Amino acid sequence: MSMLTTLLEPTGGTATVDGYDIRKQKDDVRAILGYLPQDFGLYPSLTVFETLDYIGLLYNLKDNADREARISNAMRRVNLTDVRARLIAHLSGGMRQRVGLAQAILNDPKLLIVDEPTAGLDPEERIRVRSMLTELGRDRVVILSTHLIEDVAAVADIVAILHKGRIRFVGTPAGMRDTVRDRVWEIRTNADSLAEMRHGLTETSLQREGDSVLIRVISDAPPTPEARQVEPTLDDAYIGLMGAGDANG
Amino acid sequence: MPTVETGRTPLAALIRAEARIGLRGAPLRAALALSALLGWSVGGAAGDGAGLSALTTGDTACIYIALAAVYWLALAAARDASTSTTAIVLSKPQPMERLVLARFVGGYLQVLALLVALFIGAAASRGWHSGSFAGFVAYPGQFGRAAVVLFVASSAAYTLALMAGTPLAGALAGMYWLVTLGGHDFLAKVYYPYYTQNLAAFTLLGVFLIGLTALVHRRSRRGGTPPTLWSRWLWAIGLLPALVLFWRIVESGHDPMLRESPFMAEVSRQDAYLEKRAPGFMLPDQRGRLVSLSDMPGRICLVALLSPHSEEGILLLDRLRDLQRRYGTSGVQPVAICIANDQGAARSLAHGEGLAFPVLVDWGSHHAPKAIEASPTAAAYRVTDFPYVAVTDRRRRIRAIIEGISAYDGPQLEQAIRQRIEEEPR
Repeated sequence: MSMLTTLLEPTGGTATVDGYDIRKQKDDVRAILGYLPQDFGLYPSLTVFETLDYIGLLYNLKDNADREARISNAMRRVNLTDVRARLIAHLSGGMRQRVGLAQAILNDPKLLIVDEPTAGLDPEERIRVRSMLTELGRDRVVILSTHLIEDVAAVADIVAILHKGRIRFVGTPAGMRDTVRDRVWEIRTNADSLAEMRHGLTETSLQREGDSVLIRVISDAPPTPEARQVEPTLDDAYIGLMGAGDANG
Repeated sequence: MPTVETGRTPLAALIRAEARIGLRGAPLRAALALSALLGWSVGGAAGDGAGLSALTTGDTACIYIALAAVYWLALAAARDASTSTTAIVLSKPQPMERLVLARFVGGYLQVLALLVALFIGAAASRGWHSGSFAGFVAYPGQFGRAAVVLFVASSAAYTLALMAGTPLAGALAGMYWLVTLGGHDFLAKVYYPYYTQNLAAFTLLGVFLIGLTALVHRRSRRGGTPPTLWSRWLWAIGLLPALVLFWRIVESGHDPMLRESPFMAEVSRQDAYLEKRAPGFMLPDQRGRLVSLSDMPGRICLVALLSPHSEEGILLLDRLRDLQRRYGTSGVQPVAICIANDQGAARSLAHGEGLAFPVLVDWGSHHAPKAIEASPTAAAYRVTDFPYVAVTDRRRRIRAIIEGISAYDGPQLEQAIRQRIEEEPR
């Protein structure tokens, strides 16, 4: 992601963004790119509007009226219009994340890269950010990096699983679920026999219900006679793709 | 297709935005208030005009505000790292050299705001304590000198911090400043950025530093795009003339630490004795014209040697102005020689005090524990204490020497003048 955003120089290989070489045409790439880093800061002494105005200048939006219109539009899209005059220092984490999104879409980018946009947000803000990304994804490519499978389920049309620099899977969420279809089983057991039951199985979730425990596992064959085959989720598919050892480790 | 406009944001707009980021912060506002208070405390200096006030304020700026500038610009250089804005800023299509320059100028403007506050405080103090605006014309000159010095301090700190990637590196510029403050005994005058005669060379050095930083900082971020024309050459535009100017300062200067001028060495070999011809000199006055005693034939000359940074010096200048007004028609001609490492001090005092007589600068002055060693003219006139006045007759022979407090206070000087006029009426 850092290479695509031109922040990191590739040590080898090539990549293009909309036909622009990320090594040689960096400013061209940057001009059509919106980027929301995972860990980012903003200038606390500026207001929301001033922050976006500064970013607009960095995007070479030199016409004042045009820049202001874009800022207003971006603030409207991420629901920040009411706090445009508020200092960044006085914003909540969720609002700061929305300012981050607003700055990323200020240039109406063809490609929007967002890195862990919902990390650290409360559930309400998380849902709000997901909705915004869904909305933004209608007319542009959005690359969303996340460790939260529910983000993918809510937003993504295409999923790529990367592990140690290698692509494990590329496809639709449905296609991802299909990778473990007919191999996901649900077993109800009790706490005493749980340890023995888990041995040798690829577990994808565990849920306690009173004295009993409900676990989901991935297996080519029924792990126990009582096991019930269930519809796979993206969590199941993710763990299945990553491999039991990697996923649990 | 991308909807971003073609062309670049005007640099001025970027600079404004950069300046705003700092100006809006509470630390700078507090610093502005402190700066104004500092100006108030140093601005109420003695003198009929604002000459000493302006000079003292300029010196204060060149030390304290310059140290603040070092601190401020070092932090500005590392701002993105400290605010975690690096990824956001650097992912935008703004060339690195423009970011480097805009941030520097923005930070420098913030420092200039401190300077403005300092001078406003000083001028207000001067006006409050003296009840007049006489000599306020001296402030702009000192403001200009300080602004240039702050540019030098800012550029050095910014460059070091940016290149090293840590504001601590910028502190090296601050250390240099502190060494110059305590290094009068072992540093040549050419090392001092705040002496007027060195300003041009150090300014160009600052231009070189900023140009170099703009060219090489994160240069890989450009990809295949060549650097802009100005960033390709700015370093050279600064470096080459700076080297020439430094060479000229050393070559034409007089400094026991570095190189002595044969002319000034000759001046210092003269000796002043009562009844003997006054030692000669040829020094630039406040307008840059060379002045010597031979330009004043038939006059009763009051050759005054003084430190322009002292209250005694300013009191003597005011006294000389008064004496010239009263006895000028009888052929009394004051000639003041400022003994100061900063060659701009004489001009500042002359403007501030509204002096019409020649106020010369002894460009061979240097730091010395004894007054007689402080400059070639001080050596020639065998000065033991500042301020000093030698009263000559109309044939340039020394007829009276008055040193210390008697030079500006008490009847001695005026008595000597009257005696000359009585003995040698026109």
